[in-house]
Formats: sequence, structure tokens, C-alpha cells
Amino acid sequence: MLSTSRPSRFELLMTKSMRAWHLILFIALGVSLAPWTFAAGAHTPQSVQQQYLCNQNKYLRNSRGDMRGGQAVALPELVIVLAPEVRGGPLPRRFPKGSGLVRLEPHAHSPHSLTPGFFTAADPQTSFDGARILFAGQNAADSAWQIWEMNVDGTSVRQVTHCADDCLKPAYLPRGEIVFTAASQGPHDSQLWVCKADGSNSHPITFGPGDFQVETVLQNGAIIASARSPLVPSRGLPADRHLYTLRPDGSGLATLRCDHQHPALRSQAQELADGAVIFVKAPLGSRNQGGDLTWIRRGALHNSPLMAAPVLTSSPKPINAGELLVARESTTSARAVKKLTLYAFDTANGTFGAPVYEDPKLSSVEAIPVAAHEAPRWYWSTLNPELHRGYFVCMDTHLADSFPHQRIAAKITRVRVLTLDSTRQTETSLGEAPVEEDGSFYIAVPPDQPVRFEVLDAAGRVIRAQRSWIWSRSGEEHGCVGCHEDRSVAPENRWPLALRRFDTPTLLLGSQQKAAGSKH
Amino acid sequence: MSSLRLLHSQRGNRTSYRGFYFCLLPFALCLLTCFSEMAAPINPQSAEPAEPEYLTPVEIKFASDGKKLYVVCEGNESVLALDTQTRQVVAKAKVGHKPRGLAVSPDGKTLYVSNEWSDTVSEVDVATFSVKRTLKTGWGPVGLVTDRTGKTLYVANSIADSVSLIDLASGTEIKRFTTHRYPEQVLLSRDGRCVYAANLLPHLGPYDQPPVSELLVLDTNKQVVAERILIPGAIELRHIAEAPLQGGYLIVPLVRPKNLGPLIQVNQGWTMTHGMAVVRPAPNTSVGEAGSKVTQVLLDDIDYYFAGNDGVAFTPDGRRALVTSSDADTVSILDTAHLAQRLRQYPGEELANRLDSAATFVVKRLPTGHNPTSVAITPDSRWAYISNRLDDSVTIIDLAQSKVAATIDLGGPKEITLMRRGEQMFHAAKYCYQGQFACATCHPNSHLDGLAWNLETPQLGRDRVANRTLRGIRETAPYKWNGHNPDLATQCGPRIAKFLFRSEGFNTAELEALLTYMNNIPLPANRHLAPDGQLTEAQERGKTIFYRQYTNSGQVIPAENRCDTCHPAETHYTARISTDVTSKTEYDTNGMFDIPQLDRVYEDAPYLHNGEALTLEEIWTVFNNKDTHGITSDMSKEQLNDLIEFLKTL
Repeated sequence: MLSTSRPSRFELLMTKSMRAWHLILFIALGVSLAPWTFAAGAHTPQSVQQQYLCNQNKYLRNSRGDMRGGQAVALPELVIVLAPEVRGGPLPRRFPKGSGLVRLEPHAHSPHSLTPGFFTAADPQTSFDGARILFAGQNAADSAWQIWEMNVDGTSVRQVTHCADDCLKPAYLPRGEIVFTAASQGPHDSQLWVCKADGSNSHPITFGPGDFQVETVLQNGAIIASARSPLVPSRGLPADRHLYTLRPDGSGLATLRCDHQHPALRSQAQELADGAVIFVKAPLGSRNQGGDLTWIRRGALHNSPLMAAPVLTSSPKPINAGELLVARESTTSARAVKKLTLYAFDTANGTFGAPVYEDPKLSSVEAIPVAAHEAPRWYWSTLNPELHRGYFVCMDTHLADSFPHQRIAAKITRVRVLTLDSTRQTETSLGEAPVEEDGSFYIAVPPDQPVRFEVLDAAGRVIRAQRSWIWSRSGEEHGCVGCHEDRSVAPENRWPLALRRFDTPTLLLGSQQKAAGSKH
Repeated sequence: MSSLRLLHSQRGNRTSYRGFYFCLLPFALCLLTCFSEMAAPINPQSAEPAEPEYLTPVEIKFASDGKKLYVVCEGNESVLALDTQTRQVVAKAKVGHKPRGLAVSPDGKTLYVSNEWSDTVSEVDVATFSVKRTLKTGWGPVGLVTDRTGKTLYVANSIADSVSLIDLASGTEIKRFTTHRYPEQVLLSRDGRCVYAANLLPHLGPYDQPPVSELLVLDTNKQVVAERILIPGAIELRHIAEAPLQGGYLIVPLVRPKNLGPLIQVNQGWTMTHGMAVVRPAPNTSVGEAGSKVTQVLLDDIDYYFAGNDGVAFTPDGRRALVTSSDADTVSILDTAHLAQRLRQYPGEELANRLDSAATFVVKRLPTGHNPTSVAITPDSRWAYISNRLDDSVTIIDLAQSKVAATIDLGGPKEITLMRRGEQMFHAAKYCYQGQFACATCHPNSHLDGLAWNLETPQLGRDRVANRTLRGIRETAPYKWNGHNPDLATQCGPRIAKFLFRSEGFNTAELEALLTYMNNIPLPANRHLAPDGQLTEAQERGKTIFYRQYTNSGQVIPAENRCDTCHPAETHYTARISTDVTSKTEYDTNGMFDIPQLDRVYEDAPYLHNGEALTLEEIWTVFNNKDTHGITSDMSKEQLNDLIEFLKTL
């Protein structure tokens, strides 16, 4: 396949003598690695996992050099996931037996398995110093997925989490913390959890139904998560998945952008160097772990496709300014099961380059550069666990992006706050609070509890109902501009009437309020 | 007993032990010497090696043929001539203190450089590159421009809140126009009929209402005020540029603060937006004739902010405009056709808050050096030059390719001292969540923005506090209106990161640098005090009132209610404690406020903790009905005037 493919721009940089040397090295390394490979296979039950090391892989990376301004720039070492199959659906089922992490080194001519002892492994992330890899893996078929960390050469593997259920999709946070996705058999599906690098102080940071999953950590320190929206599938269709941002302490949950007019599954988000966010958008009900490459360019309110024609793509990862590594449906595979191959992708032109790595049998996905990179900004948390309440302050409930002129014409007088009973999974009302003439309200609610709002007119009619759950953490003062505000409009500069009252915040604390009396 | 009384009683007790303390003094000094090296904390106040003389290029303009770029250097008090072919500095002239502005005479033979701290303009002969004359101006001259004939010079006096007309033949001021606060930049219209003056600070107004700024229009023929164009919701109007077409529009960079809403909004963005006013003339008129239309449009992107918009210029062909973001170290290149399209799309006021506008007309954002303040474009529209104030460099933009072509080192010191780095930190919005603002955004010129803010408090909507100056604050601790921050490290460390920037903030080294800068922000010279320190008769009378111990009727004024008790001269006229002058409103949770220093108090309006008093006089005529802020009810109008005259000398 290599010989039939068009020479990449990287290959063209190679001289014939370099090719000859690489061939010699390839053979020598293959001979030297063969006993080790088979020895490794002897003490692991995952024979399929080992098999890919014996395949004639198409590791094109060793010959590449990227021409930028006339100067050849070597691409970094990579860690990728090789998998017999990459499935859509629930996170724990994406990578079947035999999936694992391999390292592609610039001067070695075969991939080096990093997770030979695992039943399956995926979701690699490089530490900020480029020395370690965080990943999710299953020890055995009947064990739960856990978060693990190892050196980039595969040594010193250690288990970070000890989850009862599956824990996957981790990401490094600054100052020695990790965020990961904890699947649950409970009604709230998966949630985001944060722990120290040694696994201690593990705690959830999302608190609503929605099947929250970690996507990435932005350079400004916010986490992008994906979650179901709306909460309850309607008309028998599976719900959308949207992208949200929140802080590592679980505060400030907000939609990254609203795109409700276009139902889709949005996932695998990454931030580009210029602040654009790239993600994969798949149709509802898709069984593939992939979709169309889509981005929200910096400053844009809406997302747009990155490619002229739809191609099944997965796990985009920025490697250089304007360049991604993307797993895409292999052009040479005739198999019914989609096989994914790693390609370079030019974001400026929306075009694929030559394949970067191709395995004849296995899919190659989730490539990450093994290199030091800048840590995101860290946050000072303003939460106060002692307070046992969180706050919402809304500047103007009349502002709503889906209404004409982004404004609800009806006069809103009250807001009703609904919560979800954690045991019965039924909605109950925490009560109502007044909405001021200027549309503002200020309330206190129980912390870490999913809530949603209904705004009412004077007759008590529901003018607009929120369809997803949010929360306020203890001590959090969660500010909203409007009722599903438009991200593109900053609020007016005014002193909200709700903050001029002396009887606000209105306490809507439910059972906590009854226990504590009605003191502010 | 008030805290002030308590303090005084404690002081009284201490005096009896004075002799004992004297005995201990040598021993204490010895201990201090021994331990000073072991336990010396970071103390930027004591780490003050002599600063090298940085150039600090603040303003640039081209010679009419484009062969030379003139650069005003605030740091080494000079104006440079840069050969644009060789990119070398070919001439230098020393000017006055803190030069800020630059004008080129219509014949190109003379430069005028404003010296903000000398209250003068240096007239520089281009041929010899030497100062021919020094012209007297109003207080704090910054922006300046000649009329088309080159006979009259218009100078914005930032501290005097005025624009001076100077007859260049005689070198004397012939007229002065009153402006609103801190006029800094001026521009002569292309048709020569108007001079525009932009105000840095907004009108003094109710502290619970949005700010309003002003663009003053002067008729150059009649030499009268033609129009006062109000720009609502905005502060910090900076440079002005006029589109090159006849009857073209103006662009004035500005800031749109959200000071009335709770500051928690920083978490979601939007607390400080940055954009520009587009001032368009009414049909068949020019800007300045009645009916100019103002539309504000933001230069920020959703989730990404470009703080400190400052310099602006159109390309001579009018197709592009460039705006520098001095606290984001960025220049934005605007497509003016797309800008016009955007203005047509949103004719109303909505555009002022829309964050998706810039994406429609900004064709490129390019990095600059630190603190890009001024931009000038060559007559052929090919190159843009940008002064990087805190880098001693000029960035050259290739406008054909929209990329940085080169950076010219103007030859400043290579060593970056703590203080210099600190000033760079002060102007760096990257420490704030999404880059919404820098220290300098709320403290332009290291001073204040004239607004009251709803900072973090036990409850949202309470405890609004007026911004305070950072000039000369080194020995005025504690900080913050509630006096809770004992030093600047507390004020600017985690607290600012947690509650203002809502981000990581400064690391230890950065904080040390920032504090070094902040501890050394100088006070400007006092314009109300004669150079020899001699007080006028009114000031002398006011001084007597300031130190008086008896009312007009001979009653003893209790010590705690005398001016000099809370405002002692030896500590910058602050007792450095909190006290209650019953300025507390229903929205304040506490009535005890830090006593502010009074150095250059005439520049610090509005007054009181929440900025309710718009003038010094109002402190007593409106907000001291119970004689709790000193005994003033017995004073005549003349006495109060005298007191204020004295206060202005501090």
C-alpha cells in the first residue's frame, strides 16, 4: 500500500541514501525486536494485541520532515491507539480486546507497544513536561476501565483511579490534578471527576443527568465537556450531544455555543493554537466513533465544517499551527467495519495530506504528540463548602437567543426552580422567586444539585422552560445574562434591580431550608 | 468608642514607655542587621537599583514624504528620527519631561512635542533636529495638532481638562476650551474645519449610572466649540483617525466597562469589552456639524478579548484601518468595507455589545511588542509602523501580506529590570480570564478610571467602591476601601487573581516585578502649588482651616474630627486606618473606610468610598450634614473654598 500511495511531502524530502539507511535500520530493528515481541506475547493473553507488532506497519513518520518557510521541521514522536475496531456508543465499548497504545518514534521503524499487559487501552494524554502518558485501560475482560499513568517509554505503569465502574477519558489539569470521566450504573450516567495525580482526593465536578464526558482542557483553564441535550430523548430519538465549558472546580457550567437547530452528536473536541475549537460532529444514532470534522473558528458564533465533502473522521489532534493529525476512514479498506488511518490535515485548506501511519488490519486513532507543552491556566476556586448553598443571579430573563430580536416579549414576573430528586429521579419544585421589572432575579439553591428554571408571567403561565439541568456549587455565584442568552452579546451595563433589593437572594433551599429555618 | 479614638488612646499609653523603647533600640537594630540577610522577604520597595534609561516610545508620526518616522520617547525624554529605508535612528533631540504627543507642521519643517509633566511643547526644527522654542501650555499636555495653515497649535491639556489654542507666531496661548475629563488625543479633520479632542475619563456623573464619554469638536475657523459628541457606556477614548474619503467617518478606540453589574461576570466574559466608536456625519455634513451619528462596535471576539485599544490609523487608500490593543500586544487589521457592511446590518445600538462583529471585519490579528500604543501608515499604504512602548521597538507590518515584516530595535537598554518587567505585567491582560482586562485597563496612566465598581463582597450588589489612583501609593498601606489588604502583595497577589482576574494571576517572580513597578509609580508635580512652595493667600487661609482646633464660634473641635488627625501630613495625609465619616449608604455593609491619601487629590475625583461626591466641595456641602467628616457646618462658602484651595496643594 505504501508503494501505491502518492509520495507524501515528507517522503519527498528523503534522499535515496537516507532511505537505504532506514531500510537497513528497519531490518536490524525488526530482527532485534522480534524475540522481545514474542516473549511479551507469551505472558499476555492478548495475542491479538501483540499481533499488530508483527504486521508490516506503514509507519511513514520516520521519513517525514515538514517544510515551513524552507526549513524542515521534524514532527514529534507520537503515541497512538491501535485497535481492531473503533465503535460508537458508550465509552467503555469503544475499544475492544486487543486495542492498545503504541509509540511511534522518529528513528525506530516499528511501533513500540506501551500497554502489552492490558486487555485494552485507549485515551492517551501526554503530561505537560512530555515525560508521562495518562491513559485509560482495562486489565482484564471483566475488570473496570481505570485511569493509569506511565512513562512515555511504557515503564513505571501505575494505576491512578480505583473506580467501581468504568473510568475513562482522562486529561491533565495544571498543578498536579487530573480530570476524568466516571461512568456510572446510576441514573446520572457518566460524570466528570477530578483527583490528584496519585488518585487521592477524588471528587465529582458535574452534578446533573446528561452523561458528561471529558473532551479537552482549554488553554484558559476551562474544561470542555460533552453532554446530552436535552435531558430526555424526545420522539424516540437519542438526544443531541453538546459541548459545554466548566471550571475544574465544577463551577460556571455554560454551553460553548448553542446549535440546537442542528441535532448531532458532538465530541472529541480540541483547541487549536489560535483559539478555534475543533470537534467531530456525527448524525444522531451514528454507530461510528467518528463523523465530520467541524470547527468553531475564533470569534465565530456558529460552527462550520472543515471539509468540503464529508469523510468519516475521528480523534483530531493539533500538532503544529494549522496542522492536525486526524484518523479517517481508510481509502484502501474494503472491509465492512470501518478502518481508520492516521492522516495529516491542513486546517487552512481543509485538505488531508499523506497518511502518517497505516496498519493493514488495525485502526490507528487518538494520536498524541509525545512532547512537552504549555500547561493551561490554573484557577483560584471561589467555592465555599461551608456555605451549603449556591447562587444564581440573572441579569435579564427576557433575553433569549431563539426569540425575535433575542428577546421574550411577554412580561416575566416570576421564576420557578425545579430540581431532580436524587433517589426517585422525579422533578420537584424548590419554589418560586420574583423577577424584577428589568428581568433580573437572584436566588440561593442547594449546592451540587441539578436545577432548571421556568419563567412565568403574571398569570403563572410558563413562558419558557429550560430543558437542561445546571447547578451551582457551594459558594458559587453563577451569573447568567439571560434565559438561554446569546453568547455573542455582552449584557448592558446596569445595576440589576434584584441586587438592589434587601430581601434577596430568595432562598429556595428545599429540605435544607426547612431544616435551617428561613434565615438568610 | 470609634476606632479612631481607640487608636489615639493607645498612642497615649505608648508614650509613657518611650524611654524603655529607646533603650531597646540599639539591641533591636543589631538583631535586625543580623537577621536581615537570613530572612529578607521579597520587598520590592527596598530593591531599587538605578533604572537604566529606557526609551519608551509612545507616539509616532511620519514625515510627509514617508522617509522618516518621528518617535516620541517618554522614557528618555526625546524625539527620534528614524530613517525608514535604513531603519536606523538618524537624529535625536532632548525635549521636556514625560513627552507624550507629536505634531508635524504642514510644511514638514517643524515638530511639536508635548511634555506632559513640564506643561510645555517643544518646538523642534527638523533640519537641525534641535529645540527652537519651548511653548507654555495648560497642565498635562498630551495630544496636539496644528491647523492647516500651521499658524495655530491645538493642545489637549489632560490635567487641566481643556484644549489650548496657541498662536505659533507669538508662541502664546490665545484661547482655552473647557473639556470634560482628561482630554488626551486630538485630530485635525481632513478638510481642516474641525479639531476633535477625545477624553480619557468619562463625565463625572451618578455612580449608579453607566459612564458617558465625550468627543469634543472645535470649529477651527470660528474657534468655538462646534459640538460635544456623547459616547454613552464608554470610557478611555484614545487616538482618533478619520477615514480618507471626503466627509469620512471617525474611529475612536474605547473601552466599554460593565462596572454596574456584579464582577462575578468575569467568569462568563463581558466585564470589560473593547471596541471603537464610529462617528459618522449626518448626510451632506461633516463630522462636527449637528447630527453626527455614533455607533459603537466591539473589536473583541467571543471568549477572546483585546484589551487596551489605543492607536488607530487608516491606510491612505481607506481600505484598511489598524487598531492596536496596548494591553493585548496585538494589532487588528480591519477591512473597512466589511466594517461598513456590519454597520449597515446593525443600525441600532445593539452593535455596541455584539461580540461576533469583529470576526466579520477583522482580517488579521498580529502580535506586536509590549504595549503597542501608536500606529502610523506609510503614504503608499504598504507598511504600518507600531510603537511598542515597553519594548523600545517599532514593529513593521507588511500590509500587502498582512504579516509582521520586521521589528526595529530603537536602541534602548537590553537589560529588563524588575520595574520594567513589572510595568509590562501591569499592561498584560493575559493574566485575566479570556484576556478581558489588565491592571492598566482600570488604571489608565496608572491612575484611575473614574468609575465605582461592584467588587466581590459578602453579597452581590452591595459595597460599590470608587476606583483609586495608584500614583504614589507606596507608603499608604493598607489598601482597598475596607483597609483589609495590609500591603500591595496581598492586594495584587491571590486576591486579584481569585476575585478580579478569575484566573491564575501572577506567579511569585511576576508579582515581585509588578509590585516593584507599583511601588514606584510617581506622583505628578502639583500644578496648584507654586514652584517655590509658597502658598497663595487663599491657600494659606485654607491651611489654617485644615489645622484649626476651634470652630468659628470658638468651640473646641474634638481631635478625631480635625482634618489633620485623619489626614496627617507626615504620612501622605492619611492616618492609614479606617474610620467612619457616615458616608455609608444603604448598600454598604460596613461604614468604616480606609482614609485615602490626599496627594494630588484634585486629580482623583469622584470622591468618597463610592464616588458619590463628584467634587471636593460636594464632600462637605452634600455629604457632611452631620459634621462627621470634619466640622464644616460653621464654615462660610469662602472658608470652604479656601480649604479646597489648600487641599489642592497637597
